[in-house]
This record gives sequence, structure tokens and C-alpha cells, in this order.
Amino acid sequence: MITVEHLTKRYNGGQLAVDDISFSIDKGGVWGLLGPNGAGKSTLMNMITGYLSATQGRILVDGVDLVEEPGKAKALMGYLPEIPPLYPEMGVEEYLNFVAELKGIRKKAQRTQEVQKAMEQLDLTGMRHRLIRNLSKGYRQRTGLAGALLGKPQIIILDEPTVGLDPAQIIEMRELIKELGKEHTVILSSHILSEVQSICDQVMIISQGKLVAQGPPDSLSQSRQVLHITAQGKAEQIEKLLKKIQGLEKLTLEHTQGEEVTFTAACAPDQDLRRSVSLTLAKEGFPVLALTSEAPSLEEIFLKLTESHVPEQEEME
Amino acid sequence: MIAVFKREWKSYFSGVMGYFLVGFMSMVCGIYFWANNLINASADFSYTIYCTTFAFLIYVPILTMRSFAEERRTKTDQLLLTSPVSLTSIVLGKFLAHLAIFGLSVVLMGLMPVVMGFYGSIDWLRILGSLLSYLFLGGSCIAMGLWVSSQTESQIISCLASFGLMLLAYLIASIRLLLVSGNLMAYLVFLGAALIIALCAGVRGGAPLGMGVFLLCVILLTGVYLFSGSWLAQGFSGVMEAMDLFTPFAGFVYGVFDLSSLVYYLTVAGFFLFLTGQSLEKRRWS
Repeated sequence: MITVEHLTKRYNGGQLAVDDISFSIDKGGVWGLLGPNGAGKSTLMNMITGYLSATQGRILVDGVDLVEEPGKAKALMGYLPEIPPLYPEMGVEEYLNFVAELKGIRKKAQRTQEVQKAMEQLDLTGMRHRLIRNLSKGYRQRTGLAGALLGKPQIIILDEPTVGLDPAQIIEMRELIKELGKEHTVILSSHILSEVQSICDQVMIISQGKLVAQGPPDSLSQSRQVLHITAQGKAEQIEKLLKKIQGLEKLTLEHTQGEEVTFTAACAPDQDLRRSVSLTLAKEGFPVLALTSEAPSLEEIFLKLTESHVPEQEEME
Repeated sequence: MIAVFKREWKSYFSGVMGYFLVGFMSMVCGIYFWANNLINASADFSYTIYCTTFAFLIYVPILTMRSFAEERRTKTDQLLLTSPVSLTSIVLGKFLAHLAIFGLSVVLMGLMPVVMGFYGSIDWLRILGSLLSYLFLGGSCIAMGLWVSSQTESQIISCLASFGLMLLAYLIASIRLLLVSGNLMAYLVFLGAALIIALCAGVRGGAPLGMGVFLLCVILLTGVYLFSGSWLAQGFSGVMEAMDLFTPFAGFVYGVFDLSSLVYYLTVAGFFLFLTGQSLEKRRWS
């Protein structure tokens, strides 16, 4: 549905916001862009929707090149930016009519029908004559989303759709996004892990302008298994033995306490190395005191993938 | 384009701004109409129109200040630029909406000579020619204001900068008379302009670039000055003439239907609308 090739954005000040990102998004489902603040999510979305131009790279929307045929490509997408682009002096229905016309729905009857449908879908019918200036944040967000739905776009792009909403509204918005994912391809960005985990079918983790991981939330958290090994004996000797075991990676010494040494190691999810670790150590006379294996949560992966950049991010903000 | 036009038009009349601007222009014209045509019992309405051009200095900056600046501040430009609407339609839609608001004032002004027509004969062709040219003059001023507004996020800055530009365009006819003398004068003024350009270049691209640009300009200008000084004076006079927005309008007031003036106004409007489109495009790249 959307193919992004070697996309790079360097702002005028020399700041690299998006750094050579390539991915492709298939039709259907909810896709989440996850990353800490300042990771380049908004820049990426602004480029995909054609608000910003890319310094390098190519964007194809359903096979249509965004640079060559911007009108055609933009018509396929509905975008709700982080701050909903609303005109405060307009009424809700008036605004939606304007957006519909902007999206090229020429016939008045069709326009009225689509606006009506979008208002019903987002429960805005009771607010249709209110001025946007007088709406609460939740209703503004809904009005913006209703605007994004007009013109029957195949792709809906939402930048931080739940920021600033109260807990009840957040749950409502999430339900709505799941609902939208059945008919459209939805791409949303978020810095909240649980949100992405609960509503997205696919997750892309972005850090420092780079795509660092991609996959369904379950497979991401099952991509590695972590082993914690505690044994009694000399650290160097135990390490030497463990290194011989096939499939055991990233062996690190966590801590030593007298005779007790603790290592952590990673291995593939379908391998259970606990038996061979225990047997190998016991054979050489090192008693195994504790041995556990666990799959890291998405949160741990997220922190691990993004932690090395934390100080720089603070600088960027 | 129609959507942008309609929204822009409505937004002016959903608040007081539209009514204020139309009222202001009508009031200015009304005062001159009263003083020139009613009190002095003159049938020369074209001259009355001519007198009101000074009001552009206030009218145009206030009319155009929010056009692009406000969209940028509230980020509603994200909606326009991510919609399947071309940049040209956005700029043209906005321009035509502003022109229509001004056009409304022109139509109201056109009613005044109708009143005079009840009491005597008036030169309708001359008045219509003047009103047409007045509309064109207004259009080129509005295009200039839109361009200024597209440069900034602040309505105030946009308003003040447009006022400065309008003032320059308004006064340039008098400045021209002061500065006609000699090649040296033209040389010095061009040097001053080169310095400003070099400063802008320096701020944008670093000190070496600014100095390089200035050095190049100095060498070129000095060369031309020593080789054939009168070229500079002629060029200077040409530049001044191109910047002089208001003088071509005077021709129409005196009853000369001058097509080249209309073409001049169209060129100025087109030039600034093009720059506006470019500055919107440039923002996507920065």
C-alpha cells in the first residue's frame, strides 16, 4: 500500500530527522510507528502525506509516486496531524463540508451524504452547528478525524491520535481506530507502548530517525529468549564452557557474589538451551544454582532499542 | 480552488474583519466623494478614486496579513498541503477571495457616480476605466501582501512589512524626482542595494558567501560605472519605474485607457503570486 525507499530528511539546520528509512506497508490492518519523542515519527508522517518533501528517497502510495503525481497520491490518504488542522471560526458541519470539497467531492448531494456519514461515525451529529472554537479537545480530535475520513481514503494516517484526551476518550479512540482498521489501512504513531501493543497488528520501532525493528507485537517480543544462569565456580571457567554451547549468544557476566556467578545470554525462541546448559556445567563440576528463561516484553525491547540514544534525544527537544 | 475561495471569503464575513474592511474603504471614498463631488460640485469622480489610493497603505496590509501567516501559525496549512489540491489552486483561490473582498468595495464605489448621474451628465467611460484600473492596482497590491504574509507566522510582522512595502511603492514617485541626478548617485544607490543583498546572503549562507556576493557586486557595478556610467542611471530609473505601482493608475484617471498599464499590473500580481507559491514550496524543503 505504501512503499518507502531510502527516505531521508535533513532539516535546514543540518539536523537529521529521518535517516535512510525503507519499509513497506501492506493493505489492511493497523500499523503502529513507535518511538520516543523526537524520534522522527511526525517528520516521517509529514513526508508520507506530502506536507514536507524528502531530502532523499521515494514514496509510493498504492504504486503512485508522491512526487510525480501528488494529487493522485494524496487523494488516497486521509491525514490527522498531531494538532488537528481546524479553523476555529467555522462550525463542525461547515468545516467538514469544506474538507470534503477540498478533497474533490464536487457534487453537493454526495458531499452532504459523506459528511453526514462521517459525523455519525464519530458521534458528532449533536455538535454539527457548534463553532470549533468552542469544542473540547476530544471533540476537536474527532472533528479532525472525521475530516480525514472524508473522500473515502484507503489509507488513514494518524499522528499521536490519543494525546491530550482523557482516559475514557482514549479508550473510545482506540476502539474507533480498531474499527477503522477493518476497512482501511491505518497508520498511527505513538510513544505509548501499551497503546501500540493493544491496537496495532504491526509495529515499527523508530529511534533517532532510524527504523530499528519491525513486526507484529507478539513476534517482536518473542524474537529472542533471555536466559539467566547462576552457577557456582570461577567466572572465567564457566564462561569458557558456556561459550562452547551452540545457539547461545550475547553472553554477559551480570554479577559475582563470592563463589556465585550470574550470566545472561540470549537464544532463539524455538530453542530450549536450559538442558544443555545445566548438563554442560554439571559435567565439569559447576553446580547450577538457578536457571530461568523468559521472553522479553515489548517494553524491554523498546527500551533496549532506544536507550542508547536517550541523551541525544533530550538535546534534540 | 473554489473550496479555498469560499472558505476564505466566508472567514472574513463570519467575523467583523470583512465588514470593517468594506466599511473602511467605503468611508474613505465617501469622504472624498462628499468633499470633491458634492461640496465642490465636480463631476470628476475619477479624481475621487485617485485620492483614495493612499488608503491602500492601511487597507492592503490589514486585508492580507492573516492570509498565509495565520494558516501557518495554527498549522491548518497541513490540511491544505496534504489535500489533493495543487499549490497553484491554493494560492489563486486565496488571491481571488481577497480580490473579491476588494472588488465588493469597488462595486460600492461604483454606486456613487450613479447618484451623480441623476443630476447631470457624467463621463461613464472614464469612470469605468478608472474603476477597472483601480481593481487591477488593488490586485497587484494584494498579491504583494499575500507574498509578505507567506513569509512569516506572525500577522503583526506581515502587516508591518506590507505597510513598509506599500509605503515604498507609494512614495517612490517622489523619491524618483529627488534621485534623478547623475550616474554617481545611481552607482551609490546600487551599492547600497548590493550591501543589503549581501547581508541577506550572509545571514542565510554564512559570512564568506555574503562577502563574496558583495565583492562580486562591487566589481560589476564599478566596472559598469567606469565603462559607461549612463547605463547605471538608466537602469536605476528603470528599476524605480518598475517599483512605482501608483503612477500608471494616474493615466486612467486622466482618461487615457492604457493597456500597457493593465499588463503591468497583471505582471506585478503574477510575479508576486509566483513568489508566494515558491515560498510555500520552499517551506516544504526547509
